[in-house]
Amino acid sequence: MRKQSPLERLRLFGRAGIDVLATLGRSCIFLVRALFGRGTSGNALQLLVKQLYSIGVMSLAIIVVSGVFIGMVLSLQGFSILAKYGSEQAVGQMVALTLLRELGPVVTALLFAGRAGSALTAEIGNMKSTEQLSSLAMIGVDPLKYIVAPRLWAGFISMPLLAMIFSVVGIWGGAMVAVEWLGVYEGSFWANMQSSVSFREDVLNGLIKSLVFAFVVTWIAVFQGYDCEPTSEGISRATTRTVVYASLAVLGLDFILTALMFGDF
Amino acid sequence: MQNRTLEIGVGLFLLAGLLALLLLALRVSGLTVVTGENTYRVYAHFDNIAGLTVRAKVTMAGVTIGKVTAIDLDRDSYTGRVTMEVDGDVNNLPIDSTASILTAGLLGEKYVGISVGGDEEVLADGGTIHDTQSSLVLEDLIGKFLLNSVNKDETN
Amino acid sequence: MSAGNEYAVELKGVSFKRGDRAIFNDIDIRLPRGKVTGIMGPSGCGKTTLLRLIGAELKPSQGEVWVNGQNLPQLSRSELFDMRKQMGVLFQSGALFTDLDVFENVAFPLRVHTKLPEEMIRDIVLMKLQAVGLRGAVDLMPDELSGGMKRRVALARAIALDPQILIYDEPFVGQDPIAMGVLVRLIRLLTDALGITSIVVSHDLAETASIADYLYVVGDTQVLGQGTPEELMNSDNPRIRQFMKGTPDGPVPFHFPAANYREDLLGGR
Repeated sequence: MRKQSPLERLRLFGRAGIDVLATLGRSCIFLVRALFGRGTSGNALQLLVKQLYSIGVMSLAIIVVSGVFIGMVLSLQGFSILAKYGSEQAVGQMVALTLLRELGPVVTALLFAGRAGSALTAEIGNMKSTEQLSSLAMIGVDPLKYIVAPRLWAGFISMPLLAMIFSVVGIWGGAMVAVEWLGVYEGSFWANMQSSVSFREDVLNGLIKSLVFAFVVTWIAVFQGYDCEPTSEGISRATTRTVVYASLAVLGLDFILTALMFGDF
Repeated sequence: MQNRTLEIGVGLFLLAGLLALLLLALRVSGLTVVTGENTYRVYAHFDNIAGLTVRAKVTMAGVTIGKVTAIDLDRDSYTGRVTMEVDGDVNNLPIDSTASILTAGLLGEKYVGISVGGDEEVLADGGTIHDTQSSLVLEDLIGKFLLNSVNKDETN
Repeated sequence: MSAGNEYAVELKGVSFKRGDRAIFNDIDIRLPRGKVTGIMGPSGCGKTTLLRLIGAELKPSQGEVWVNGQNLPQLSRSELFDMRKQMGVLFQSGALFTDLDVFENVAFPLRVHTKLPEEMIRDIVLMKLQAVGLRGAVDLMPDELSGGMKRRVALARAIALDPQILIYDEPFVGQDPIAMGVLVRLIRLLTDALGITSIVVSHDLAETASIADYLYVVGDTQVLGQGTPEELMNSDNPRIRQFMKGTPDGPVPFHFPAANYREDLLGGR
């Protein structure tokens, strides 16, 4: 309401910039401490298994279902376009390349941010607001090691696996539609795919993408939870931020990675 | 007890992920286990490579025997230099073999076809195929055709 | 440990700032060993901050915090975590780990810091739960407990490692009279029976005064007063009197600092 002098506005702008930098710095320190700090909890493997379950296994259903449908849709759409040029057999190649290079890693990361990322933020935020994190620290257990680190590792491990499962299921869905429904000859469907998909260029590059996304999404989710204001509104805001930031980061990074990996074609 | 089911679930998940990688490798990308780096390099200069891309197939009698790994311009002769990795098993290509850029079907991808020559000497690693046939360029073809018909008219 | 030292916790010239706002300005607080010390003050005076300074969750901007003969701000992160094993904290909400049942909650510090065999852990956990009267609740999950029971389980967890110092953060807030009475008795009992140094941070005057051997009143970045509960009750310091008697207006004003009321109303248009 009150009128602000230009100088005051400049000050607020600077303040906002400093805040952003400070948050970035905090999140980096947070990450390094969580991953490389001195270990205090002996049963690290057991904690990791538990998180792999709640992050990886619990996301499996949504990944598989979305994968099948996306593969089937790709097949349908691709067929209707390719049929105009009389090259329906190339539908296998199209489905496989689209899934491996782009949709597998990206859609998995987006779904992961929505399903596991938001849950991570809410869970850690809730632990913070109910003082469970402080309580751990007071018992002499570093919450970064006990709570944060296993979740980070579980995210790093889960997402690439989920992305590959997504691609496989999607290709299978696409093959079903193309072969059983649209009548593409099965042999040429697979042969075309195999001759055009390269393990190193397509499968491994997709895997690298998904590793990068896993890193970024999990990091954002866990940090937002850890850094949130410990109130109900604070947690809900942090959860929203996780999904928004993680999705934007994934899409932005995807462009950069695609340009680096496939840009010279 | 509860821990057990949890661990089994995670085990299945990890297994599914690895299986997916295996499927992608073998079924989707057609990766053969013995890709061995046992290949040798052959160059060929074309007047026009139009449409040929890196990773295109190199075939002989319709059988894939290698792939194109690089395409660049030779600054001295102003020709397109195509670098090919040929399977090490096919080490008996005569030195006067012919390389031509062909098209799979009317609109299909371009690939390199090699037809055998008759020389005793064989191509070694880093050797060059001199006898080449360039890519078919539709515009040139039409141009030639028109020129021919004009010439015919004149002689008549 | 450091038997000659009669104070378990000493804050020397501690200042703490949050942003530009000073929360504490050069305060000195000494907490005698084996006694219940109450730290009181109006809401928002930074009592919880004080607690976090003693637990070394926060670092003071200036000054020294000595706990059992160690200066906290100088300890490394790992030394701190070791030091905290000698300290138990009962948080306001109890802060039980929601994914573990009551037994595992109490067993947690033992599992992390000791390599005791399973039967011994079981015995210790049951003993601690017996001490707070909740041995029967051993298989329940935290969300099946009432607020008062949660706090008692948390207390059992806090004493699992037999700490030398126990800190209670607002233990009486939101408790019914019976639960409150139980807690007051427990705090007194644990202090006397185990020789624990108890620190009760609270603004509940009657309960705190009834168990504390010594009281600090904190407010306005300063220590306003200290002494036994009787001494403080009879203090002539107007600020302490206002707090102890609970009058709405006094040195601590009813109104939040604001511009002139009349000007604010008329100046708006």
